[in-house]
Amino acid sequence: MTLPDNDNLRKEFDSDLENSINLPSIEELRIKYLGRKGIIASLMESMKDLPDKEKPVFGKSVNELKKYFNTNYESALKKANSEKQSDSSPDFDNTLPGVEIPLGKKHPLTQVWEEILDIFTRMGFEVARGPEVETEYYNFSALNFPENHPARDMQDTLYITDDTMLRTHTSPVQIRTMLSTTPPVRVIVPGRVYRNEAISARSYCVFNQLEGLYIDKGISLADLKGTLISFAKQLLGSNVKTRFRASYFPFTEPSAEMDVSCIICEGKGCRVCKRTGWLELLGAGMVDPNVLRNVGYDPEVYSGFAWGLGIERTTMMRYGIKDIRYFYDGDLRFLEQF
Amino acid sequence: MKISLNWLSKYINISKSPEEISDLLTMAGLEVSSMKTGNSFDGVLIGEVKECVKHPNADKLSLCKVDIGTGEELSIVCGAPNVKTGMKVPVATVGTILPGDFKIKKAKIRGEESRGMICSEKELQISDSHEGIMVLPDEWKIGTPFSDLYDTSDTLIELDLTPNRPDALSHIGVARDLSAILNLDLQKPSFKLDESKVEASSEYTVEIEDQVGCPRFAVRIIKNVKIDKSPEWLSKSLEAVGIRSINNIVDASNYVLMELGHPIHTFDMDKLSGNKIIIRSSSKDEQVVTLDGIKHKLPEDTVLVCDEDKPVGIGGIMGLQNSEVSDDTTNILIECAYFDPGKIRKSSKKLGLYTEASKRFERGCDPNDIEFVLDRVCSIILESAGGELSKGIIDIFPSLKDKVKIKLRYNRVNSVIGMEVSESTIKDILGKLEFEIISENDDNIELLVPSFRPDVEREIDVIEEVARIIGYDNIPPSEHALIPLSASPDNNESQNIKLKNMLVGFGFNEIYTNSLMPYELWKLSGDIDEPIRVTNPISMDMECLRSSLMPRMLEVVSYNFNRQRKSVKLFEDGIIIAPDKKSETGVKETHKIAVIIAGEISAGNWIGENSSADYFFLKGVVEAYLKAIGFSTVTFAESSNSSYHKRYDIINNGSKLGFMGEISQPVLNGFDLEVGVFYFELEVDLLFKEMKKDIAFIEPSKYPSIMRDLSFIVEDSMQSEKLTAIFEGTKTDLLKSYKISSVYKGSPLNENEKSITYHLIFSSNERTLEESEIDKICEGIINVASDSLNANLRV
Repeated sequence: MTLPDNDNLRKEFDSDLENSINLPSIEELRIKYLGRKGIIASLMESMKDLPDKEKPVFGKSVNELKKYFNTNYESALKKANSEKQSDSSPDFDNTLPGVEIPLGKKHPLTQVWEEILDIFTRMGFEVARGPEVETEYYNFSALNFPENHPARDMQDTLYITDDTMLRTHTSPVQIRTMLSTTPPVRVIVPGRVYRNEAISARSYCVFNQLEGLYIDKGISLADLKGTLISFAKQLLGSNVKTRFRASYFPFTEPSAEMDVSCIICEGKGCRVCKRTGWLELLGAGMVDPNVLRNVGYDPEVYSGFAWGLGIERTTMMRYGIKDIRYFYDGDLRFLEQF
Repeated sequence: MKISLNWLSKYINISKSPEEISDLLTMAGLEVSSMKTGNSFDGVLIGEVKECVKHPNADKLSLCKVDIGTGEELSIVCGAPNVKTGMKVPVATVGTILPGDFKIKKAKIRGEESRGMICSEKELQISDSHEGIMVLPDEWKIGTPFSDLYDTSDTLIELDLTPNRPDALSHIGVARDLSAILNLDLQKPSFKLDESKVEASSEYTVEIEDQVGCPRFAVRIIKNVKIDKSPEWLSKSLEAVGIRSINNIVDASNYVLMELGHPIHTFDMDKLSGNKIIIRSSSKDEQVVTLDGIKHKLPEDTVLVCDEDKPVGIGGIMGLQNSEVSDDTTNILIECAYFDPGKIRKSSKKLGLYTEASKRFERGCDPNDIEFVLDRVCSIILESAGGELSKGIIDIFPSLKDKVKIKLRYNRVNSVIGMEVSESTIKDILGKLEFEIISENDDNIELLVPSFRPDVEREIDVIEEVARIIGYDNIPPSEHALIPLSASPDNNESQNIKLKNMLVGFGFNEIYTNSLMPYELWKLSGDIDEPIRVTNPISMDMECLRSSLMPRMLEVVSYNFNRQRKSVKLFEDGIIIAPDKKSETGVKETHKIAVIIAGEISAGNWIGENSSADYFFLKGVVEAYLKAIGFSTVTFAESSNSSYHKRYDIINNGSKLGFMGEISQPVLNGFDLEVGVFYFELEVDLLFKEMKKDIAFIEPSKYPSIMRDLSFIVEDSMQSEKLTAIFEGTKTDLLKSYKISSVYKGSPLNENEKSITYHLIFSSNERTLEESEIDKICEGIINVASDSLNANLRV
């Protein structure tokens, strides 16, 4: 069987390579071995006269050789290039890009969470965390969700057993925190929560919530407003307008929803805010006396407020992101923008 | 809940725009999710068809001459089959823009000029009817704008109600809130009722067996009704809120449902056996066919409305087919009841049957408005279907609860809201909301809660009513400063941020992945204990909880490689969940931080080589990362897991911080990746616990240091740590650092040999070192290496 003389060709190439010390000689090397009429080309040319059964083996051998030439030629070229760039010749090309330093980014949800953490840390809040798998007691009962009540339909639950579930909100950590401390209490609680909802542009079965709780003597609805308005202005800018609407949550009474003026249209009305000029930022309310009693606090002595917001929602609002799935796909083209 | 503002105006006289009303409701907790205002119909006039002949070139078209009061008759081509000479019709003149941005232009249709359009209801978006043009009453005057005569000013508001407000599932309830907010009077519907001489109670009796499920049940009887189409006001009212008109009996009860919010059911009396209604619980395996023709196997303990033979209705949910009102019905029995919310909710859930009735009963209807509701519906039926109303109501309420009594302290109102609210304001608001004051003194009032408000049970609930009606936006926010309670020095949060900062500094991108995954993907974790599963997953793709961050992260690597990325370095910080029988919830949750690396170490550059990540790159990242967060003396111990090809546990002072490894080929097979993938994870809480927080500062030497390179030839099979141990063992104050700078195999060494070169740095903090001292130390090292490992210096 006829095969190209790879060993000798390599040796020949190696010695030529050694003498290729500048760009013109490297170009000569390329023409001799890899050029249109070079050694590789002529070997390929010669292959057509071989019997068919020998062609694959011969071809493979030529390819190996070609790869060897190519790799070495390219690294010689790069080396010569970089030497050329580092000298101070008048040909120096500063329009070539610099060496690319890979950048790392925190996830946009982390960035927004850290900003929120910063704001509340300055206001004297600490962080509390709790488990993602919760019991019926902490997730619902202790939070004043009556059994067999439509309020439980507000949160579609994923169950692990009859009595344990993936928490549907971070509010069980309110209970855990109050049970383990004496007032005053001032905490924020970040964490994953779960809902039995199909994945779509607007909803995801997993998302991150941020809960807040403030209990002390003499805390009122006016304090709730003062604290949360201050938060919204720090997060979204001092020009942001806020409004508080009456609402319903089983664990707060009175309950409210806080809207902020749409950050896209600044309240004029656009598609993002459905022409209302407002975007819902968070749900809040005065902690229900039943909840306080459940953790052994006297509602005649202590009062306080709690609130919760979705970090995904807030981040989407902030950057005008229309599809929640981006957060969980891990697409670097998305993540590198933040 | 759909609310028509025209309908609302029957009970309250508001002079506000639909936008203002919608805003007030939203702020008071009845959130308006959408609002649709009627069209203005500019340019649509009343016309009369003066002449109507067939279009010469088209079978289905007519050529009309229409008088619209301008003195000149318009030629209009019309395609409707019902157009006739003498009809009054709505005409959209040239230039009119109809709903849906449809502009009317002068046109030639099949060679004939057409100057306008005769409209159907659909073209005017009044209804979906497209069978023909809209025929208007004869008395309507030619040339009048259509909107002057046809009532098009209604606005439809869609409310997205919270589950605590059953009362707002009605027009009267919404009007009541508005009356409190705007301090206006509420006019309840008034009507008169003619009864016949026949006593209802002589014809029928009611017996309640299930007194828990049904605390109150009442009926009235009307004889000789005539089933027919509903009068226009009735069908139009229902259509306005999206309910299809059926007949004068069904429509009457739907109307009252939308007006007062209390469901009503009507039976064809002649289809009932005997003369007694019995309310009982279902027994095992009972089956019924509901009005919609669907057969249901009833869950036990469902409330059933029965005649003397058989069930005729599922209480509070839906009537049965066997007693349905039909076109030939003449005598009717009308039911209005109060069912237990919890029981209705349970049955409706188990049956998968959610109706307008069940929605209201499970939230709680008013148990005390039953007489009024029955009278109201009877008045409408008598008006629209005729018949004779038997005298009196058969009304049984064996277990009706008293109204809730609440004491409201004025100072409590102020302290919860955080502002002064005057006593008169409080009383005004509560009065409009129909709370009844039963006693009062200087400090407090005692109230009876209206029974249509089951959500109000305590003082705090009443305070919410006051705050809600005042409007949260009218409460001035407090500005008193918050003062930190304690500055916590062991703040794990800031440590956690540092853990991430370090990886970001290395050029890694953070990802978040779904914690739920299909079993097939979970298996790639190589974990032995079966995963925790969700019993009611959204789909099997979301069945298992992650017990390792790796499988989803690997998926993300593949996702990015499929999008032409050549360098993927990611990290995730999250909770993993595994079974643990000893814990309260049966699971153990562990906080991990994990890194995955694949492909080129740096993205393609035109300069220098682009090397790919390999095992020693991974190990380098692990060592650098641990050093950066304060672990300088970790060790590695081989460990095994089917998903990894080389895997080592990372150990600090005997405790396992995590592991690192190369993901094995079988795991990668499903992912179409042609590069090696490397992974490590660390347990965050252990890092927090053991991480060195204090730094013992060592002053750098002011004197010059001396470097030496020592190469040893050893057997290829020897692990480098044995040789390294000698340097560690002979470490003097002068040997400041040592590290491996190269490993070499090949000629001129023997085949089973390798050489390892160490780079050493010597210095002293006190003086300049002599070469001879260094030679002596090196000699010592060389001797030990030669004696104990048979390692010879390479010269």
